[in-house]
Amino acid sequence: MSRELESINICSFIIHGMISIRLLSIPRAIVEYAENDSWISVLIMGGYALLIGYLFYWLGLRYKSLTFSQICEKVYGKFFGKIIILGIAIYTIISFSLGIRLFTDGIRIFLLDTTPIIFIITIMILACLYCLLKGVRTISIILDMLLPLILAFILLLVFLSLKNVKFIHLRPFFYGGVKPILQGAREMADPFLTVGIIGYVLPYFKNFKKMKKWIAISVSISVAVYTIILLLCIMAFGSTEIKYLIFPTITLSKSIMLESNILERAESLYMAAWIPITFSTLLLFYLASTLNLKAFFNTKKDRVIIFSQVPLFLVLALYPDNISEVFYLIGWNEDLGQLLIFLIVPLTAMIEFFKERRKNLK
Amino acid sequence: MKFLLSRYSKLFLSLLFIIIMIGCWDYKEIENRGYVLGIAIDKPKPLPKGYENDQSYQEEKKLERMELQQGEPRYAYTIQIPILPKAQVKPIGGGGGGGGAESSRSWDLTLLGNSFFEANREFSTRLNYAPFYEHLKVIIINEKVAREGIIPPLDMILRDPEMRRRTKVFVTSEEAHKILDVTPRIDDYAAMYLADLPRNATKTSRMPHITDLGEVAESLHGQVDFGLPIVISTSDEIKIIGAAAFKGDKMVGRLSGIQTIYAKWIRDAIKGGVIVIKARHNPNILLTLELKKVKTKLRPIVDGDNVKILIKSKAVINLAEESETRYKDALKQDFIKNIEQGAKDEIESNIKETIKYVQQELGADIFHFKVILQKFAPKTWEQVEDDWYEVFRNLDIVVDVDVELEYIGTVK
Amino acid sequence: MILDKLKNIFGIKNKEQKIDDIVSAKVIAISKSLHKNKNSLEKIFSKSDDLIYRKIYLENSNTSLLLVCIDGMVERDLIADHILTPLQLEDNKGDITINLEKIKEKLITTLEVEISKGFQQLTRSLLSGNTLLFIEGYKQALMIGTTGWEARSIESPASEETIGGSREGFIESIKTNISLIRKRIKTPKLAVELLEVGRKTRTNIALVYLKGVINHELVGEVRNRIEEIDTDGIVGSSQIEQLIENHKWSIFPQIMSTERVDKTVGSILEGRITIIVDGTPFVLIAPVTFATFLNSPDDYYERSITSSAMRVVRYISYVLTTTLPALYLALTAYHPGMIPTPLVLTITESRMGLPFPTIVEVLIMEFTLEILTEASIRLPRPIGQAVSIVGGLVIGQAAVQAGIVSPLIIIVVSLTALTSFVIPVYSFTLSNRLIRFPLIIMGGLAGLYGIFMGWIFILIHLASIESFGVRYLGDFSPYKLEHLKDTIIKVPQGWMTQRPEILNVEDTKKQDIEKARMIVDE
Repeated sequence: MSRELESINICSFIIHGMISIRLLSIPRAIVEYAENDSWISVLIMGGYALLIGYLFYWLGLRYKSLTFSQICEKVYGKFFGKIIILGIAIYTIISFSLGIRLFTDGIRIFLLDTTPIIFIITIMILACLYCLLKGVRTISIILDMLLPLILAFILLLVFLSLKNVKFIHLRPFFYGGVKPILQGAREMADPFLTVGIIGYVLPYFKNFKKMKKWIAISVSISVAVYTIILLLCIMAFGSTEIKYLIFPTITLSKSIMLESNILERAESLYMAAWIPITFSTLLLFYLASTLNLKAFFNTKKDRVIIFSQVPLFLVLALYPDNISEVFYLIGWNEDLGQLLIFLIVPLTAMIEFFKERRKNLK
Repeated sequence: MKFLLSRYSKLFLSLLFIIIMIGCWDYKEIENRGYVLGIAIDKPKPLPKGYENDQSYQEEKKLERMELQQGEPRYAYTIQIPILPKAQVKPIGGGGGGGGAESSRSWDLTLLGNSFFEANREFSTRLNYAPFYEHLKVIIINEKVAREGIIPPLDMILRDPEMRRRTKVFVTSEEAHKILDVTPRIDDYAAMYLADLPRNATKTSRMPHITDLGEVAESLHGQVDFGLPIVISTSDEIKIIGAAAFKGDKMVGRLSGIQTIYAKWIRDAIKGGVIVIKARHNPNILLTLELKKVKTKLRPIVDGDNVKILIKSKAVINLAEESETRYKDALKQDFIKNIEQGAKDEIESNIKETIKYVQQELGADIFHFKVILQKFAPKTWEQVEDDWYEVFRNLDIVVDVDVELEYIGTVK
Repeated sequence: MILDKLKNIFGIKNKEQKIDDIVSAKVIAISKSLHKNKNSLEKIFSKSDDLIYRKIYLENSNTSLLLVCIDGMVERDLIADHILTPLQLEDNKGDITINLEKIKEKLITTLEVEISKGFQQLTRSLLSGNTLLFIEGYKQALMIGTTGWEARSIESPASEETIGGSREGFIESIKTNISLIRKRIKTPKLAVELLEVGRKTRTNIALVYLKGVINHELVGEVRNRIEEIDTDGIVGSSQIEQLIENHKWSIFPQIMSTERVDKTVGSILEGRITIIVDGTPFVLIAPVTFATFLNSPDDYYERSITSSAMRVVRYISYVLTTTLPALYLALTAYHPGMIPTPLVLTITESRMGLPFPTIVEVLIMEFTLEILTEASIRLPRPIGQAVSIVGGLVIGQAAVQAGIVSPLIIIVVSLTALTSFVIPVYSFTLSNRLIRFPLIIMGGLAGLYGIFMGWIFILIHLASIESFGVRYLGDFSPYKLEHLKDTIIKVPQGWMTQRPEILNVEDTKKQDIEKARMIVDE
């Protein structure tokens, strides 16, 4: 494992991890529960994500050359450790497959009608595969290159949508009480769990200077993006309309109309802008999954593991029959993700913390 | 290593080859699409009197009838596609265009059917290029159709990703396809001409300008009532004359142009326009005021079980025209105060009248009082939710308009 | 194969000796007899009639000498004035002895004189344009530096014109080229290492860099790679380039070659290494990154705001030249909904009745464009212009009129052609003209999705390649404000206080802001 990343590289890893294809569909999922107050859910979960990020970082610093999976094995012992690693493996692999499937469905709706799913999926997997084979430094450069592009696109979407905003849609505040907000926050757990990529890339960093600052900044940027997009969706459509939309964020770009005739349909462009976003998120899932499986099998053979996941991804991505099944499976996978983010990660950190205290006492 | 490399490259090459061989699933030449610019939805009509024996008319009708899988045709769908002349060999920079001798640059096709999707596919039996809706500009709905409800004919249009949320929706009391048949003098296609009309909302408020399909969808999903512009036409002209009020998805009545101004005023949708008032000191003098900026806030006033709606509005106006040309008092504060007071009275009474008209004649909550209650008084809303339309009919309104005269227009 | 790679990584050289034609000359020893020496030389240089053998007999000292040189590679005046004349003059002084030492130390008045014992060295020296002097009775010979052959004079660089830069371009002579650099960097820290490459050509190669600034590992790496080259001959610097670069199958150049002196000097000052190859006016600069290929020397001669604007134009042109045809194809064939309605109708109208699908049309026109550019390079300048007029105007117009292609495609293709000439480095332009075609195919296959994925593949490739330990896209990652100063934009000269950090230089500081200000104040 060569340490060749600078501490600032963590930014693009985290932001790319957190801003994923789910940004397209997540407003609907949260609004189902939290209605107009969904943005509070995002902020709450964002705060928690920052905490989780720091936990990953703290754990990573304690075992500088180990990934989170390896740390789990150290902390829980061989047997329980392997079970948790298996859980993570299922989570990452399914997240990758369903993520790519969700994206493909979006592409089919907005860009390519009749192109076979398998073609779109294969090209995407090939790109991830190619990038992964080139090593972590290449991944980091790619992420750094794509990040400004993606943020610029999102910013453009925000600015162009400002015209459609109606503040009245935000009311009434806190009408439903705290419970729906917390339920909405739970929906955010899954996309924000990707902050855990910190736990997998830390071994590749050569310096950790100001790392805490960068983690805080990048988590805040991602949370801000989610919050702003969600606010815009609510303010543009109202919470009732959002429930009817499969991809509210795309619909947001659909309702953009420029006075002058520059672009007739902004949503195709936005769907296109979502290609790099999806690519980067999938790449990170692939990376985490590979490192995780390496820990599971205790092997150093990168290539074997990278290649052997491809058919798995393909089969799982092609398994769902339609988009509602995709969302059903995502919901199931989310439960696993919530288990990880709310239980496993804090527990690991806690055990590690007490271990250290005991050691210090002795 | 070399062995592996060659194997990879072979694999890659064969993959590439296969992709290219099968590929291009969605590839479609730009000229092989039928760009639908407008859709008109009518009721199917019997043959007009006097034409029963007209041979060509009969044949045309035969084409328009399609074999339905279920039931009798309920709607007549008309689509407008542009007629693009086959490119003749023309010198570069030689002007282009070249419409030729035809008078109309568009072709309107009609089909009778139940579901739009079915009709849409049936068009492909008549059109060598399948219709393509991403450039759809307007949807025109016949009033009879609108009165029966617009969800059934529009549902597919609301849901299909090919449709744009920014397509404009209009209502007409005439046959909707006639509007598409119009050849405007300064534009080739009626659909594009009509789609640009609401952009003039900064000049006049006599037409509703928020007519997008997306807004209609929002209103339908949010179960709030809304208004759409009404158009009328001659053979070469189109005009927007007011608004059609919708309750749910059904049209319930019309608002005249002037009523539209005040309905927009309440909805805080005024972008510009003109009101005319009588001078207070002399009813013979007419004052024309230009609306520069109108800001309206609606708030519920809850007093126990009693609900009122407060319409608080602030308007900035210019004095544009006066039927008396002596401007001697124009710079005096009194004069300005007078105009402001006159305008305030006029506007307030007009708003009240418009609301009364809508409450009594139409019963459709096009002012979105419902939304105001939902947002600002959710507890009260839960009480009145069940018999809202009854409550709406008898809802008390408090109007408070604050008028500010900015420019008096004295240049002399 | 794997073994070789490993050896490359660890820098272990292959054991087998490089084969050298001159090695065979080693077996013959220099004889005391002039006649025998002449015979040996004639044997070594069989069938070379341009060798000049001049026998000299000095009467007073009774010494026979044999002067050998190759016609055209020596400066004749030099031999006459500094070798023949002094010998005769000395001899005319009267009865004295003339021996080898005396000739070397006193009589010969050129700069370089050396004594050699073996024919191997003699041969090499002779081939470099030196003159050999054999003396009867000595088993040694003198090698006298008389190199001088016809060389082009220094001209303004033809392939990289600038507006504000110096008019001096490199020429084919390595000595002149080094002197051009030395003239501009007057410091003892400027190192010039000389190497020789090629079994047959024995081409001189100079590594020029700044000691104390450059990363010395880089120098070692470059030196190693050049020394490892085992080839018959080097004709141009690009051969060296291909032999020492990391990624042989990449279409992106990983070493910059330039004719411009100012560009080279700038690179040396930044801490890069320069490889000068004898016989070519193109000097190699390494390591380079993606961003350096989009910099023009003119950027440094203009105001920072204007040159930043030009940089931005260049980056946009780069995107256009690679992607525009693919984008046109994707938009018209896959997403006509994204084009404004009036434009869609215009394009549709112009494409009515055309026989070929857009993808074929694009490929035909792009291919024609490549043919035209290639043809206009080959042809002498006046004809070249005629060809471009014929190609550009006549074929374009005729193709539209004949109803083969649509007028819009002509606009698209000519725009790609124009934008491709905005990129300052020719080899880089070439590789980007090549990218266009896979992107067209991707765009034709899957529309915007294809183009985006195509670009992601290209980006991954760009990110993975490196030039002598420096990542190709290293300027953009990790984020540093310092990187921005001289990549996409160019800040005022006074702000560029650091050398590019990715080069890992030993001395990072280029200038002090304070000092720069003070100079201005004075």
